[in-house]
Amino acid sequence: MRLGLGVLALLAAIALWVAWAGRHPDPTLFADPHALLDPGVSAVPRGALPAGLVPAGWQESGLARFNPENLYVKIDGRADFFIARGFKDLAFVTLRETGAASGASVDVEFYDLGTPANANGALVGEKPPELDAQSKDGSTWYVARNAMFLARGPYYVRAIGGDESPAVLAGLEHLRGVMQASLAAGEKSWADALFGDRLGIAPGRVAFQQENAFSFGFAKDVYVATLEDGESELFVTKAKDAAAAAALALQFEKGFQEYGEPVKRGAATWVKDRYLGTFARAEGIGDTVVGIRGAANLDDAEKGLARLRAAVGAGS
Amino acid sequence: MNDDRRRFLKQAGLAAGVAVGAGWASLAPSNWPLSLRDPDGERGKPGRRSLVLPKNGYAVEASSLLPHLGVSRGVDVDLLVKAAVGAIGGIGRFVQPRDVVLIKPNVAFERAAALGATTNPDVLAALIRLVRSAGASEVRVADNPIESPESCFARSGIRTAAIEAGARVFTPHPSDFSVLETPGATHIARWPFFWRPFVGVTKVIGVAPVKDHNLCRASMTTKNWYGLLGGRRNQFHQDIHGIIADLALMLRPTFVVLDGTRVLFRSGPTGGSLADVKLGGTLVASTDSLAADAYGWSELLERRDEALPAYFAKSAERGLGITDWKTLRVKEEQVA
Repeated sequence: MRLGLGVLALLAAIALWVAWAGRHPDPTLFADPHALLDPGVSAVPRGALPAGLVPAGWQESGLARFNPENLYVKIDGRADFFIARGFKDLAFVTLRETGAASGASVDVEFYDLGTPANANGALVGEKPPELDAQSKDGSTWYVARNAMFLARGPYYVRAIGGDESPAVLAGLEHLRGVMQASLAAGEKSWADALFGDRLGIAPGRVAFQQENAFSFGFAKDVYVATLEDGESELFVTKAKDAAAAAALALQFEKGFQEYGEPVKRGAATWVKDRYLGTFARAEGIGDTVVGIRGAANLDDAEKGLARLRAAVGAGS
Repeated sequence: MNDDRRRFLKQAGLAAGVAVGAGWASLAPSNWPLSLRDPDGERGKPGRRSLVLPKNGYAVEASSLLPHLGVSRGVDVDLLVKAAVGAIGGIGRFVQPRDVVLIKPNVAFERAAALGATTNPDVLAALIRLVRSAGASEVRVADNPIESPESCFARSGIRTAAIEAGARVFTPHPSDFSVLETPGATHIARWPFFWRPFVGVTKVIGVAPVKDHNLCRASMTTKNWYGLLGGRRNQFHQDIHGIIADLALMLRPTFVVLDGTRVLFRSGPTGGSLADVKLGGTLVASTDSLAADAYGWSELLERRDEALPAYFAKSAERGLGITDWKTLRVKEEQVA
């Protein structure tokens, strides 16, 4: 009897707690998300954001930091682009020219994406196709009118000028120099060596897709290099061994066949995209999967894949 | 023995009843009887009443004769606004003397107007002047931006433009939100809404830029109403097309203006580079947000070879607009 009453009392207490909790939810649910950030307070640590970002006559203000939990407060709608590329941290500051009538300003978004591959992948992912990126001493960057985009080590920097005045452009150039001098260049990945050193493809044409490459759920850690025609793409990824690479290549082939038909040439099976008429193929070489997609015709596709095959062979 | 068994069964039944009751209260969907679930935290707020918008929103009577879409092209924004609104009946069709008019621009990000991530402040100012010319007793401008509201309104030029044109600017504070009920909505059947600027309002006009969007592919006049939501609205990005269809259901405007003076054709919704912006020199006015957005998709973003984003079909299924704008009456006008 006592035991039964005890159980009942316990259940009643649980029910009361549930009711109370329902009426007193976590107050942070209602907090103004901007209030949680406290931007502009000097206590916000800079993290890896270099000091000395401003040239003479400029001033820095509004330092704010964002993590994967609150990135949406800064760039809601765009946050997923960076989260899919290993986002760890964003430091944001505004640089303003002081005492000048021009009112020049540059917003600096300093993303830590964890690895050089992710940083370069973000840069390539945002780069307009009509612009070429430059690479020097471990940095890759381009200037798009009022803005500069730079990848160095695991960091991706977006520097957004308020306009494209000479003062802003000078500020962007100063910023590039500071980043170059202050941040260590990342180590070259195996794919950088493959595409850059052996195939002569500029880093600004090589994207890294950590997840869901070509919209294939199985395709992870894929490096994709866009060729000069702007359409054909060579791609590589590593598997744990030769058998896994062969199986993965087969998965790519099946994936391509969802949008096309198999075409035989010699011993090789290619896939012709039924909408675009372009050709694709993947194959395993040791523990590496190599492939091409988007080639305008079979001859170009074969040549492109042969180049990639030879480069992988030369490196092994 | 029988007494013990009976007592045991009674106690067990009582215990099971309490457990089931507690489980029901805590786990049953929030709109079921006796449920204490509180998915958005609103149930726990003291003294907040739920609100509903007028049954037909802020729409005026439909016309079977006037064009559905008014499209103006040119440079002078005052002429552009007058021509686009004029094509669908003129401002007098929509705003009467003593109306209190709320205009909702997109002020989402701390960006200079030239970067195309926010409504062109010159277009907003021209629209305010036009509304005032119709005799509106008050014009309000409101948005709940993604980034710091004060910075967004300042750097986009919206605050200055609105005030100089004669509008009151409402930036959000936590006490400005109340729970809005949107019957039939999937995600926002009850959700915090930027209510304070709506108090006493009789007409609502949306004016939104044409933007590429990383998740929903295009942000135009329908997505613009996202800026009226409070709470943890970012969670809706898990079903971005569903929430935009909910927004179309939530707010039926008097009319919308699609601001295609600048088009952020890639790297949206934030943008940042002038290389991502093209000058469109076009405004579209309509009482049908979906039709205006469909026009923007094909003619301003120039994606006529691609299928419309899924939120168009989801909204159209609810009878909230027409997605095939070519079947509608369109009046186009070139201005200076």
